Amino acid sequence: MKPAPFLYERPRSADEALALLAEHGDDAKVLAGGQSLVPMLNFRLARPAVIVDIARLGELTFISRHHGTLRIGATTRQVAGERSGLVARGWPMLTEAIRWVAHPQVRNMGTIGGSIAHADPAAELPVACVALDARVHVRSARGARAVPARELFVTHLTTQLAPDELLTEIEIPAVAPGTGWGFVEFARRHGDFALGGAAAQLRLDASGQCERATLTLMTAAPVPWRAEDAERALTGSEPDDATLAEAARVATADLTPTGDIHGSSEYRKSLAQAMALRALTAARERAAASEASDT
Amino acid sequence: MLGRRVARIEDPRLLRGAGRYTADVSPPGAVQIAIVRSPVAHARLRAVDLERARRAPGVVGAWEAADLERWEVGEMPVGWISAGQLNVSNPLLAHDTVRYVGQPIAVVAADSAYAAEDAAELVELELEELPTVLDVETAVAPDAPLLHPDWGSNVFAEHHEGGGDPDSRFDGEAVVVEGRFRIHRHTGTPLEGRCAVAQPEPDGRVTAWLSMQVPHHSRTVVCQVLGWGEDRLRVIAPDVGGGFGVKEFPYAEDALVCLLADRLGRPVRWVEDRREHFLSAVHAREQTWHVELAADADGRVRAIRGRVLYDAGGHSSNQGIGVPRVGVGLMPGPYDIRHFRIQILGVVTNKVPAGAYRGFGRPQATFVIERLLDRLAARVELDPAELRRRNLIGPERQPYANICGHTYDGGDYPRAFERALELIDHDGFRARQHEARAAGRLTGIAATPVVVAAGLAPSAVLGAIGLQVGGYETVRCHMDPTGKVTLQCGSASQGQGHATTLAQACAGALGLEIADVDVHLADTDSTPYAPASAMASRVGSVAGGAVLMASRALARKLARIAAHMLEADSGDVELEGGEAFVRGSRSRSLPLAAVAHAAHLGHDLPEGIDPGLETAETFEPPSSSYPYATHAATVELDPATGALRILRYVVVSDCGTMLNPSVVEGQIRGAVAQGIGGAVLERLAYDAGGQLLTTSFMDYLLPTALDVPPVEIEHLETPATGIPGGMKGIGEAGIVAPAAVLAGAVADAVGTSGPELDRLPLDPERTWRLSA
Repeated sequence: MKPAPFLYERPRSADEALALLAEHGDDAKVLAGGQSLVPMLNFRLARPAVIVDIARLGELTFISRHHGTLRIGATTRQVAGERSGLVARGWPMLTEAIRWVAHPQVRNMGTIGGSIAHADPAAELPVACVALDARVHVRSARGARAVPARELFVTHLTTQLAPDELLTEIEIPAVAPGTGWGFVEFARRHGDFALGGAAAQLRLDASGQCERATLTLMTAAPVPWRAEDAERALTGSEPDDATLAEAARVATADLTPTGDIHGSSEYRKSLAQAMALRALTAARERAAASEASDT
Repeated sequence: MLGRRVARIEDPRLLRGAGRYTADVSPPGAVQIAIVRSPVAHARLRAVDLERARRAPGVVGAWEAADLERWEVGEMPVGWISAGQLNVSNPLLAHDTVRYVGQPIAVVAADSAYAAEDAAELVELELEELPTVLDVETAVAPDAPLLHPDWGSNVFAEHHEGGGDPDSRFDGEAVVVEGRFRIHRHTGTPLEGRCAVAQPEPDGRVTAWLSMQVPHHSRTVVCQVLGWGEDRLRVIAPDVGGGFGVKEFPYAEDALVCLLADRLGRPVRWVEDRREHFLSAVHAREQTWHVELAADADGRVRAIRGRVLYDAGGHSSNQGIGVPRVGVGLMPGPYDIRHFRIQILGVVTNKVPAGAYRGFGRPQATFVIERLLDRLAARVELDPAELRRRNLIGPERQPYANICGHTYDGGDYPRAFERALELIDHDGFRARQHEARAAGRLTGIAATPVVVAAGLAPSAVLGAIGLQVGGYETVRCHMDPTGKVTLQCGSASQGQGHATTLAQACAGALGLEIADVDVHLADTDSTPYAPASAMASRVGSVAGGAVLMASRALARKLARIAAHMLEADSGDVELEGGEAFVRGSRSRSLPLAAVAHAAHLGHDLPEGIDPGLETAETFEPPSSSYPYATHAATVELDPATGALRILRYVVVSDCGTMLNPSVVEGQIRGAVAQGIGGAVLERLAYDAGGQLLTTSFMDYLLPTALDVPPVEIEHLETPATGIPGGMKGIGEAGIVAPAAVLAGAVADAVGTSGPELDRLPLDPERTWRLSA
């Protein structure tokens, strides 16, 4: 399959990109690593009139720490995030999440911002951003704004970005010391889109009680799903096996994942629960280990 | 040389990206074609409007069925015609009715693939949709919509396979088990899709490069369709990136490319994409069985009877009901079953036509009989392995005539079976399995013995069963004046390593190194007619046998000439290490190059010896060969996710003489990997309207290296009796058992002999439900 005809633009700066988006609006589509968009173009499922290729904008390619906050430029390749020592030391769950993304060839080309902007609820990076309370920075010719990741995703493959807006940067706050984490998923094959997955963080106080908990589910809902009921139930609890199992149950109780040829809704819901439990268990083990190494 | 683990001579070229595949053939000035395919599963085709497409930028032309009719183009013949078969040919481009999504309707040629695809979108179709039939059981129901109303039914062929008197064995004393078995639609998936390039030559001929397993047969069929003498067309199968049966017979696109190159006077290229491949290359495997098995109380099988509905898709493609016929004929496999009858019905449905895929019906039949045997084992309270042991054909009964007309050519099935059980530690596993279960872990084991026919032969038998090709092979062997050998063989390689293994056979016979042998394959201008080429696991055994015959004939001639030169008796001359020497006195020797030089000069040759060094031999095998194996696997299921982990996978295989054990093991490993893919991952899924849902590798899941366990292989080596060299074809034997053995191991893990595992695939949701 070959794509339908389109106009190709390669701006030399982010400002130029914004000007092109302002000019073409809905007719334009931003191309970064091309790992989702190019197949859609070739299948002629996407037929934008204009492609704005931002992949080579150096100003949007960086990983840095600023006052304890991680900042990642949108066109940073996923492999750069995967291999970043800065990320691995301060945000190991993000490193792990990227390792689950498809295959090395995809991570070499795919960008971190591109995956987030694509907003597939079965993808790892949107889930990691929601789990880590990230904010994304968005610019347009009209101005700039920051959007919490939890508010960014509207539904399957849809964010609240306007057609003239460009996701430029991801900002992730510092993870509190002693926070344990778990990131797990299950797919038909390694590298496929997950049928179920979860990201969890637990921090324990000196008595072993859960001080803070986050639980985010992949592909169980049309957007990365923060299981707030489960988080509340966990906070202040003794995180024993039964408590985690109950939290995993609560997290998925009201969800109805979308089924497809690879798994029914019922199966995916059960998987979401199983993955939530595994992620929480891994987070508890890491939190306990961190506790032990601190004392 | 023969039998050595020689590194494949193809690999340096292929692994460095220096292979030359059909899509690499790009003659200057070539036009690209795009095929307009049916967007609906079943419809009356009222009109095709090509006008807008013809006016699109870069378009050279656009054509539909009416154009072909005007040019007196025929239909694609079906390659296997059983007695009474209603469907014997199919149109290149649909006229009046479309019967599956993807069926070719029109063709557009343009200066680039982009322009051709843009223009193809402008072709307007007037379609009046008809009710669809997507399932064989619905299709044979009395009120089913008919794909071909003139047939009066959706059944295009019927055949009964078997012998003895099965009904009499289902008496009151028999233990009877039965089942309804469904094998899902999946297919061989060569990583190189289909591709065809044709170029008109100044002398009026056409040269075609086709990504095909069968260059000579492709020429025969294309010329038949176009009404050409075969002298007008040269077909070359260059490097081909996998065939697996999917490229076993030419398609409409191959004929269209040759036709348009001739008519336009310009080279024409067609390179499909993966989506198009899934919508146009043959699908495979889908069958529904109802079968009963009767046994004695001690587990000895008395009889099998039943019916298989073969889902052929929109038409019978190239194989008719050949696939279920071969599968059913070998369903008794390594078991001694004397009363057997299966009715085969070929049924059309509104899906992509089905055809050959490595294994050719045998994986399905093996799955069915193995599920029945597990059910029987539970009924008579025997370990499944013990039940099989009681039914295996012993070596003392070889050669053994099975009830469907196959005469097995030797071997020791119980030995392979017992060795596989030993290698996988069957008894130890059983002991550990109880402990694992007590600890909440689900583990299972199964062992499946199989016998497979390879290198379908002889030609007269193929004729009797309706297969429209011969089963012989001709090879030419030529030594040049410097002592280097050229082998010419019409069969094609799709990556199996034929240039290596055939060179080994030839070099072995002539006392040379494989570097001394140049193998020419798959070009109709320069190789002998090869009717069946790389079908039916036949190159190693049938072409290999012909290579040995031609090489040995050449060796005899060299020995005669050398004897003359050495003043010795030709019976005393041996060829080894590139020399001819007198047995017992190695110093009385000549370089073969000197003998070859003398042979080509012809100045002084022994009485009755013609000058030159060229032999050609045709090998018509007396029968198929019958490789056999036992596959054994252990698995563990994750009850939370349904994940199926293969703990160990063992194969004990006997394919007769091995030309190259590394190549044999590559064939086994590749076949097991494909078998696992088909059993666990791969599925061609349709929605209720007949749209194919799995048209990319995102949804059609091939096994990766991470999904295939190490395959532990051990060999037995019982030479085939009717083949020079004793080789038995190994291309398909490895794919026959995996689905059966994995289903058996999963059934064992969850402790069921019920109907839950009577269908495939073993996707994680199914194993999750089973292990819950």
